Amino acid sequence: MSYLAAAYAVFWAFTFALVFSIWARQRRVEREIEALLSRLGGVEEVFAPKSAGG
Amino acid sequence: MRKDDIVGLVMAALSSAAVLIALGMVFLYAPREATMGDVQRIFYFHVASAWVGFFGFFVTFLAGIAYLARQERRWDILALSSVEIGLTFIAMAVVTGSLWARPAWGTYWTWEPRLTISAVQLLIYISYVMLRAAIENPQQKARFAAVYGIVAFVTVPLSWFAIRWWRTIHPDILTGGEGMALTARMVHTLLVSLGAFTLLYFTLLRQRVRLERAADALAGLKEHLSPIAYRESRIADRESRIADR
Repeated sequence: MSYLAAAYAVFWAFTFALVFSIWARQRRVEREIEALLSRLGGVEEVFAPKSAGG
Repeated sequence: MRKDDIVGLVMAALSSAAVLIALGMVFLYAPREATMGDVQRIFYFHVASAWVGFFGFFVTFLAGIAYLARQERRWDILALSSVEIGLTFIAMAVVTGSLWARPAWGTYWTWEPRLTISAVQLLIYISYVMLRAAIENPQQKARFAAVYGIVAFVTVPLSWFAIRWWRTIHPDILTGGEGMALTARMVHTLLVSLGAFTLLYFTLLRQRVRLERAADALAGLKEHLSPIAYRESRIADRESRIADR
Protein backbone atom coordinates (compact mmCIF):
# COMPACT_ATOMS: atom_id res chain seq x y z
CA MET A 1 0.00 0.00 0.00
CA SER A 2 2.89 2.37 0.74
CA TYR A 3 4.17 1.94 -2.84
CA LEU A 4 0.73 2.87 -4.16
CA ALA A 5 0.58 5.98 -1.96
CA ALA A 6 4.14 6.93 -2.98
CA ALA A 7 3.32 6.53 -6.70
CA TYR A 8 0.29 8.81 -6.50
CA ALA A 9 2.23 11.29 -4.36
CA VAL A 10 4.85 11.35 -7.14
CA PHE A 11 2.13 12.12 -9.68
CA TRP A 12 0.84 15.09 -7.66
CA ALA A 13 4.33 16.33 -6.80
CA PHE A 14 5.51 16.30 -10.43
CA THR A 15 2.29 17.89 -11.71
CA PHE A 16 2.35 20.67 -9.11
CA ALA A 17 6.06 21.25 -9.68
CA LEU A 18 5.43 21.73 -13.41
CA VAL A 19 2.39 23.97 -12.86
CA PHE A 20 4.24 26.03 -10.23
CA SER A 21 7.31 26.35 -12.46
CA ILE A 22 5.24 27.64 -15.40
CA TRP A 23 3.24 29.97 -13.13
CA ALA A 24 6.36 31.39 -11.41
CA ARG A 25 8.13 32.04 -14.72
CA GLN A 26 4.97 33.63 -16.17
CA ARG A 27 4.70 35.94 -13.14
CA ARG A 28 8.36 36.94 -13.40
CA VAL A 29 8.07 37.72 -17.13
CA GLU A 30 4.83 39.68 -16.63
CA ARG A 31 6.40 41.70 -13.78
CA GLU A 32 9.40 42.50 -15.96
CA ILE A 33 7.14 43.53 -18.84
CA GLU A 34 5.14 45.81 -16.53
CA ALA A 35 8.32 47.37 -15.14
CA LEU A 36 9.72 47.97 -18.62
CA LEU A 37 6.46 49.38 -19.91
CA SER A 38 6.22 51.84 -17.05
CA ARG A 39 9.85 52.83 -17.65
CA LEU A 40 9.17 53.15 -21.36
CA GLY A 41 6.14 55.33 -20.61
CA GLY A 42 8.27 57.61 -18.43
CA VAL A 43 10.98 57.90 -21.08
CA GLU A 44 8.50 58.50 -23.87
CA GLU A 45 7.05 61.39 -21.86
CA VAL A 46 10.50 63.07 -22.00
CA PHE A 47 10.63 62.70 -25.78
CA ALA A 48 6.95 63.45 -26.42
CA PRO A 49 6.19 66.93 -27.91
CA LYS A 50 5.20 69.40 -25.25
CA SER A 51 1.47 69.91 -24.97
CA ALA A 52 -0.09 73.28 -25.80
CA GLY A 53 0.99 75.91 -23.35
CA GLY A 54 3.92 73.75 -22.17
CA MET B 1 -10.94 39.17 -17.57
CA ARG B 2 -9.67 38.53 -21.11
CA LYS B 3 -11.14 35.76 -23.31
CA ASP B 4 -7.75 34.06 -23.35
CA ASP B 5 -7.69 33.86 -19.53
CA ILE B 6 -11.23 32.46 -19.44
CA VAL B 7 -10.30 29.70 -21.92
CA GLY B 8 -7.26 28.90 -19.75
CA LEU B 9 -9.38 28.71 -16.60
CA VAL B 10 -12.01 26.51 -18.27
CA MET B 11 -9.34 24.14 -19.58
CA ALA B 12 -7.68 23.99 -16.13
CA ALA B 13 -11.04 23.27 -14.46
CA LEU B 14 -11.93 20.56 -17.00
CA SER B 15 -8.58 18.82 -16.79
CA SER B 16 -8.59 18.97 -12.96
CA ALA B 17 -12.09 17.47 -12.90
CA ALA B 18 -11.07 14.77 -15.41
CA VAL B 19 -8.01 13.81 -13.33
CA LEU B 20 -10.12 13.66 -10.16
CA ILE B 21 -12.70 11.45 -11.92
CA ALA B 22 -9.89 9.18 -13.16
CA LEU B 23 -8.47 9.05 -9.63
CA GLY B 24 -11.89 8.16 -8.25
CA MET B 25 -12.23 5.37 -10.81
CA VAL B 26 -8.75 4.03 -9.98
CA PHE B 27 -9.63 3.62 -6.30
CA LEU B 28 -13.40 3.09 -6.32
CA TYR B 29 -14.41 1.64 -9.69
CA ALA B 30 -11.51 -0.53 -10.87
CA PRO B 31 -11.44 -3.94 -9.15
CA ARG B 32 -8.56 -5.13 -6.97
CA GLU B 33 -6.20 -7.15 -9.15
CA ALA B 34 -6.04 -10.78 -7.98
CA THR B 35 -2.27 -11.42 -8.30
CA MET B 36 -0.69 -8.07 -7.46
CA GLY B 37 -3.37 -6.61 -5.21
CA ASP B 38 -3.75 -2.85 -4.69
CA VAL B 39 -0.30 -1.98 -6.00
CA GLN B 40 -1.59 -2.75 -9.52
CA ARG B 41 -3.58 0.52 -9.26
CA ILE B 42 -0.30 2.35 -9.99
CA PHE B 43 -0.62 1.00 -13.54
CA TYR B 44 -3.42 3.41 -14.62
CA PHE B 45 -1.54 6.66 -14.00
CA HIS B 46 1.79 5.06 -14.94
CA VAL B 47 0.53 4.16 -18.44
CA ALA B 48 -1.22 7.53 -18.81
CA SER B 49 2.00 9.38 -17.85
CA ALA B 50 4.01 7.38 -20.38
CA TRP B 51 1.36 8.09 -23.04
CA VAL B 52 1.53 11.85 -22.44
CA GLY B 53 5.34 11.70 -22.50
CA PHE B 54 5.32 9.91 -25.86
CA PHE B 55 2.62 12.21 -27.23
CA GLY B 56 4.58 15.27 -26.09
CA PHE B 57 7.69 14.04 -27.91
CA PHE B 58 5.57 13.29 -30.99
CA VAL B 59 4.30 16.89 -31.01
CA THR B 60 7.93 18.07 -30.74
CA PHE B 61 8.82 15.82 -33.68
CA LEU B 62 6.00 17.30 -35.81
CA ALA B 63 6.79 20.87 -34.70
CA GLY B 64 10.45 20.28 -35.60
CA ILE B 65 9.49 19.25 -39.14
CA ALA B 66 7.15 22.27 -39.41
CA TYR B 67 9.92 24.60 -38.19
CA LEU B 68 12.43 23.30 -40.72
CA ALA B 69 9.85 23.67 -43.49
CA ARG B 70 8.60 27.17 -42.55
CA GLN B 71 11.20 28.70 -40.20
CA GLU B 72 8.43 30.17 -38.04
CA ARG B 73 9.10 30.85 -34.36
CA ARG B 74 5.69 29.44 -33.29
CA TRP B 75 6.79 25.90 -34.23
CA ASP B 76 9.93 26.27 -32.15
CA ILE B 77 7.84 27.47 -29.21
CA LEU B 78 5.52 24.48 -29.59
CA ALA B 79 8.45 22.03 -29.78
CA LEU B 80 10.15 23.43 -26.67
CA SER B 81 6.91 23.61 -24.67
CA SER B 82 5.95 20.06 -25.58
CA VAL B 83 9.38 18.66 -24.65
CA GLU B 84 9.18 20.21 -21.20
CA ILE B 85 5.81 18.60 -20.52
CA GLY B 86 6.79 15.29 -22.15
CA LEU B 87 9.92 15.16 -20.03
CA THR B 88 7.98 15.71 -16.80
CA PHE B 89 5.52 12.95 -17.64
CA ILE B 90 8.17 10.46 -18.77
CA ALA B 91 10.05 11.11 -15.53
CA MET B 92 6.76 10.50 -13.70
CA ALA B 93 6.28 7.21 -15.61
CA VAL B 94 9.81 6.05 -14.77
CA VAL B 95 9.44 6.83 -11.05
CA THR B 96 5.94 5.35 -10.71
CA GLY B 97 7.11 2.31 -12.72
CA SER B 98 9.96 1.79 -10.26
CA LEU B 99 7.52 2.03 -7.35
CA TRP B 100 5.38 -0.65 -9.01
CA ALA B 101 8.41 -2.81 -9.87
CA ARG B 102 9.61 -3.08 -6.25
CA PRO B 103 6.67 -5.18 -5.00
CA ALA B 104 6.04 -6.82 -8.41
CA TRP B 105 9.61 -7.77 -9.44
CA GLY B 106 11.38 -7.43 -6.10
CA THR B 107 13.58 -4.56 -7.32
CA TYR B 108 13.16 -0.86 -8.11
CA TRP B 109 15.22 -1.08 -11.25
CA THR B 110 16.50 -3.67 -13.69
CA TRP B 111 18.39 -3.08 -16.93
CA GLU B 112 15.84 -4.78 -19.17
CA PRO B 113 15.16 -3.26 -22.66
CA ARG B 114 12.10 -1.07 -21.91
CA LEU B 115 13.56 0.42 -18.74
CA THR B 116 16.96 0.97 -20.30
CA ILE B 117 15.45 2.76 -23.31
CA SER B 118 13.28 4.88 -20.99
CA ALA B 119 16.36 5.95 -19.02
CA VAL B 120 18.23 6.79 -22.24
CA GLN B 121 15.18 8.65 -23.57
CA LEU B 122 14.99 10.72 -20.40
CA LEU B 123 18.66 11.68 -20.71
CA ILE B 124 18.30 12.49 -24.44
CA TYR B 125 15.43 14.92 -23.81
CA ILE B 126 17.16 16.47 -20.76
CA SER B 127 20.07 17.10 -23.15
CA TYR B 128 17.63 18.76 -25.58
CA VAL B 129 16.75 21.35 -22.91
CA MET B 130 20.38 21.78 -21.82
CA LEU B 131 21.67 22.17 -25.37
CA ARG B 132 19.02 24.76 -26.15
CA ALA B 133 20.19 26.76 -23.15
CA ALA B 134 23.78 26.55 -24.41
CA ILE B 135 23.16 28.13 -27.85
CA GLU B 136 22.94 31.94 -28.00
CA ASN B 137 21.79 32.61 -31.56
CA PRO B 138 17.94 32.18 -31.65
CA GLN B 139 17.76 30.95 -35.28
CA GLN B 140 20.63 28.53 -34.80
CA LYS B 141 19.09 27.33 -31.52
CA ALA B 142 15.69 26.71 -33.15
CA ARG B 143 17.19 24.92 -36.18
CA PHE B 144 19.42 22.73 -34.03
CA ALA B 145 16.55 21.93 -31.63
CA ALA B 146 14.24 21.03 -34.53
CA VAL B 147 16.74 18.52 -35.94
CA TYR B 148 17.49 17.18 -32.44
CA GLY B 149 13.76 16.81 -31.66
CA ILE B 150 13.21 14.87 -34.90
CA VAL B 151 16.15 12.53 -34.32
CA ALA B 152 15.40 12.05 -30.60
CA PHE B 153 11.89 10.88 -31.44
CA VAL B 154 13.37 7.54 -32.55
CA THR B 155 13.40 6.64 -28.83
CA VAL B 156 9.57 6.63 -28.75
CA PRO B 157 8.91 3.77 -31.23
CA LEU B 158 12.01 2.05 -29.86
CA SER B 159 10.55 2.19 -26.34
CA TRP B 160 7.10 1.14 -27.58
CA PHE B 161 8.38 -1.89 -29.53
CA ALA B 162 11.09 -2.86 -27.02
CA ILE B 163 8.70 -5.18 -25.21
CA ARG B 164 7.78 -6.90 -28.50
CA TRP B 165 11.20 -7.10 -30.14
CA TRP B 166 13.30 -8.23 -27.19
CA ARG B 167 12.93 -10.57 -24.23
CA THR B 168 11.59 -8.45 -21.41
CA ILE B 169 9.78 -8.78 -18.12
CA HIS B 170 7.80 -5.56 -18.70
CA PRO B 171 4.05 -6.27 -19.15
CA ASP B 172 2.40 -5.50 -22.50
CA ILE B 173 -0.93 -3.75 -21.92
CA LEU B 174 -2.23 -4.45 -25.43
CA THR B 175 -1.63 -8.19 -25.63
CA GLY B 176 -1.97 -8.70 -21.87
CA GLY B 177 1.23 -10.04 -20.41
CA GLU B 178 1.94 -12.07 -17.35
CA GLY B 179 -0.35 -10.96 -14.50
CA MET B 180 -1.90 -8.30 -16.74
CA ALA B 181 -5.32 -9.62 -17.76
CA LEU B 182 -7.53 -6.52 -17.81
CA THR B 183 -11.21 -6.73 -16.95
CA ALA B 184 -13.77 -4.38 -18.57
CA ARG B 185 -13.72 -2.04 -15.55
CA MET B 186 -9.94 -1.88 -15.66
CA VAL B 187 -10.06 -0.96 -19.36
CA HIS B 188 -12.63 1.79 -18.65
CA THR B 189 -10.44 3.20 -15.89
CA LEU B 190 -7.38 3.11 -18.12
CA LEU B 191 -9.22 4.88 -20.97
CA VAL B 192 -10.54 7.60 -18.63
CA SER B 193 -7.03 8.08 -17.21
CA LEU B 194 -5.59 8.38 -20.73
CA GLY B 195 -8.27 10.94 -21.64
CA ALA B 196 -7.74 12.94 -18.44
CA PHE B 197 -3.97 13.04 -18.92
CA THR B 198 -4.32 14.07 -22.56
CA LEU B 199 -6.56 16.97 -21.49
CA LEU B 200 -4.04 17.89 -18.79
CA TYR B 201 -1.29 17.84 -21.45
CA PHE B 202 -3.15 20.33 -23.68
CA THR B 203 -3.91 22.60 -20.70
CA LEU B 204 -0.25 22.64 -19.64
CA LEU B 205 0.93 23.03 -23.23
CA ARG B 206 -1.27 26.07 -23.74
CA GLN B 207 0.10 27.73 -20.59
CA ARG B 208 3.69 26.86 -21.49
CA VAL B 209 3.25 28.30 -25.01
CA ARG B 210 1.81 31.51 -23.48
CA LEU B 211 4.84 31.76 -21.20
CA GLU B 212 7.24 31.50 -24.14
CA ARG B 213 5.29 34.13 -26.09
CA ALA B 214 5.41 36.45 -23.08
CA ALA B 215 9.18 35.85 -22.84
CA ASP B 216 9.47 36.77 -26.53
CA ALA B 217 7.45 39.95 -25.93
CA LEU B 218 9.77 40.83 -23.05
CA ALA B 219 12.87 40.27 -25.19
CA GLY B 220 11.35 42.48 -27.91
CA LEU B 221 10.56 45.18 -25.38
CA LYS B 222 14.13 45.11 -24.05
CA GLU B 223 15.46 45.51 -27.58
CA HIS B 224 13.10 48.43 -28.14
CA LEU B 225 14.03 50.01 -24.83
CA SER B 226 17.81 49.81 -25.13
CA PRO B 227 18.25 52.75 -27.59
CA ILE B 228 15.78 54.81 -25.55
CA ALA B 229 17.69 54.04 -22.37
CA TYR B 230 20.86 55.16 -24.18
CA ARG B 231 19.25 58.46 -25.20
CA GLU B 232 17.93 58.85 -21.65
CA SER B 233 21.43 58.52 -20.24
CA ARG B 234 22.74 61.06 -22.83
CA ILE B 235 20.09 63.59 -21.74
CA ALA B 236 20.98 63.02 -18.07
CA ASP B 237 24.67 63.60 -18.96
CA ARG B 238 23.85 66.83 -20.82
CA GLU B 239 21.68 68.08 -17.98
CA SER B 240 24.40 67.41 -15.42
CA ARG B 241 26.96 69.26 -17.62
CA ILE B 242 24.60 72.26 -17.91
CA ALA B 243 24.11 72.21 -14.13
CA ASP B 244 27.93 72.18 -13.63
CA ARG B 245 28.47 75.37 -15.70
